Amino acid sequence: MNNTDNLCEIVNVSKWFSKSSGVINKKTSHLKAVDDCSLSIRRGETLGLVGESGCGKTTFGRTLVRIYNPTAGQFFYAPKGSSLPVDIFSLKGKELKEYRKKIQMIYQDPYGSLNPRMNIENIIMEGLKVHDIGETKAAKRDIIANVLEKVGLRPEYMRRYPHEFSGGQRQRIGIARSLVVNPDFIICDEPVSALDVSVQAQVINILEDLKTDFNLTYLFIAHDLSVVKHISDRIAVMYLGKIIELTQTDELFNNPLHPYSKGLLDSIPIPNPHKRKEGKQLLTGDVPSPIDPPQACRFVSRCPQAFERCHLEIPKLKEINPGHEVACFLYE
Amino acid sequence: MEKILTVKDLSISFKTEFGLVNPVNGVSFDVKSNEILGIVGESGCGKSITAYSIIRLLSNNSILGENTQITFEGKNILNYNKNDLARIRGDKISMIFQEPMTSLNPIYTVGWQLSEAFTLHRDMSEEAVKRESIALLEKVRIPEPEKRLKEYPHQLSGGMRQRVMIAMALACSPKLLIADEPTTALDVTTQAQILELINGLKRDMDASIIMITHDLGVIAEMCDRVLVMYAGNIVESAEVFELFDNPKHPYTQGLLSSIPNVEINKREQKRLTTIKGFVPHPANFPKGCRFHPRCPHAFERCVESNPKLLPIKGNLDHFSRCWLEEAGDHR
Repeated sequence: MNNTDNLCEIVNVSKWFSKSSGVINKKTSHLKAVDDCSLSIRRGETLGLVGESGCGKTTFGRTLVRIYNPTAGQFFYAPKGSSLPVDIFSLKGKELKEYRKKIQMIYQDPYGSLNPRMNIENIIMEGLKVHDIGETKAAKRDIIANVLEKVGLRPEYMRRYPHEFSGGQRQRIGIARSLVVNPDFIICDEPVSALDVSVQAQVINILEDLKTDFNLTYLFIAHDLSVVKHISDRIAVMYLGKIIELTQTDELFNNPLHPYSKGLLDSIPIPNPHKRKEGKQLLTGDVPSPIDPPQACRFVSRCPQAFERCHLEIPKLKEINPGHEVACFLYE
Repeated sequence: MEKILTVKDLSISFKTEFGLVNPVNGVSFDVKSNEILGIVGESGCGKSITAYSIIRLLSNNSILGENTQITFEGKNILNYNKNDLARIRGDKISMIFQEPMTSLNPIYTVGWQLSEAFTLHRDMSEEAVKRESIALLEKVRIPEPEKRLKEYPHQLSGGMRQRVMIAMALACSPKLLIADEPTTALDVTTQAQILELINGLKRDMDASIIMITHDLGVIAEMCDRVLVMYAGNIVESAEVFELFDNPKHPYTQGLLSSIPNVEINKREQKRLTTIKGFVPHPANFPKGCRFHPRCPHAFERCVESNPKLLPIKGNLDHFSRCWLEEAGDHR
């Protein structure tokens, strides 16, 4: 890694799921959920990752925390003060455990991600036990009370069970659980998409406050573009396992380059009836299957501007303007 | 404009193990011909069961209020028995459900499910049914309709399934189409396609649409008039431009300001305004105005009694359920 401002350098990461079919003529097909993605994440930034369902954004996040084992690639991680970045994908056992503490995840579903048979204290305590934080049980409890306050919950709630909380409160518990082990980097996988509008804003504000208070770096995965715009410093757009555009938030919204990004931004319903999309050019068709995709630009079947080359080669992510990368032959 | 549906004093209760729960009450509204009426609110505010009650798709433990009246094309459809209801469901009034994944029957082909409406409501030959089905699929812009008729729901994508749902709902050219969160389960690019499709149908078919959604963006794109629901009450209703330009109820104001504004550059965006607390459960709606525990402007009177939905000063088409309005306090 050559840039010391970068916390993470993700190099050529792929995650393929394989499926065999047939008994005699055995064939293996690959679902290329994440295919050859490279990305760097700067210290202290919020990097938004957007795309439609099935584009691989959740798989990407889960591969980074090694819930899934990567098919290929490296993930260099350089916490502050460390001399050399470490490839997290090459670590095992004890060494990996050290980094699991540093990289945490907040999950999408506030109902499914908390064990209904454990109370809040035990749910949050698990991380402390695993990583041996806090000497006595009382010390651990103090840490938990502290972190609950940070996410806007009363410490008295410690003895309650998940079903006693609303969706927004459960999501705060999820945030507290990832925060308690003192991470540097949090992967937020659609943290507000299951919440009601009025509660969504509360959770977004908490995430923003915690980021400043604890010097966190976020990878913010979401499909709601107005939320992503509000919270992110830079945004990466994913389509069918590939990162197709990466730039500063305002640059992406004001000057999207990739035809897919343009279509995606144009389809956001704007809560202002004076700006209805009458006669706007909408994207047609559906996202094609990620199983054994052809050697071509992934977007070619829906692209209004596709030409011959797009059917033959896969475009690479290239910097077109300073800080603005796009994977499209239109700009070569 | 002519009214095709009038709902008066709708109250819905459910017999549950915790006693009688009353998630919707005092809801009155009408739908004019060829308009799109939006009903917006958060989960648990009663918007879906309000719509279900119109064609009585509520579960068996539900009770409608004594004073409730639902009039469709001049007839009180609350008196209808099962057979009468079956005759209008899918014919004059039809419904698009939220979940395109589960609301189609997985063991029948698309063609079979489409033909059901014709065989139930129209006396048509097999030939004619097939011809009409293909025409319907073309209308909702499904490519290769003849091939699709023989396919099963699992062979279609989410967007395609929702198109099939819409085609089924349109089979008998309904007068009223109830769309319950028709795009919530879909991606934004597919959502935009489906919304455009529904807008086109309204133009071509002279139907009225009730559009239920939690997304104010969808409301702004589609609707002519809007009802805002909170905790089983309508708290505000107005024509769409008026509602967004001049929201009166503190809940509507809170909702509008808690969504990040995508039109403003990230650099200029401020911290989001929030509504404190969360939506109450129907079994324990607060006394007085149901929004008062979350309202930044609440005063004594709000705790004591629930205000009525009344026209605001200077605009008889804009209603708000708020004591501030009565006190002449314009915020």
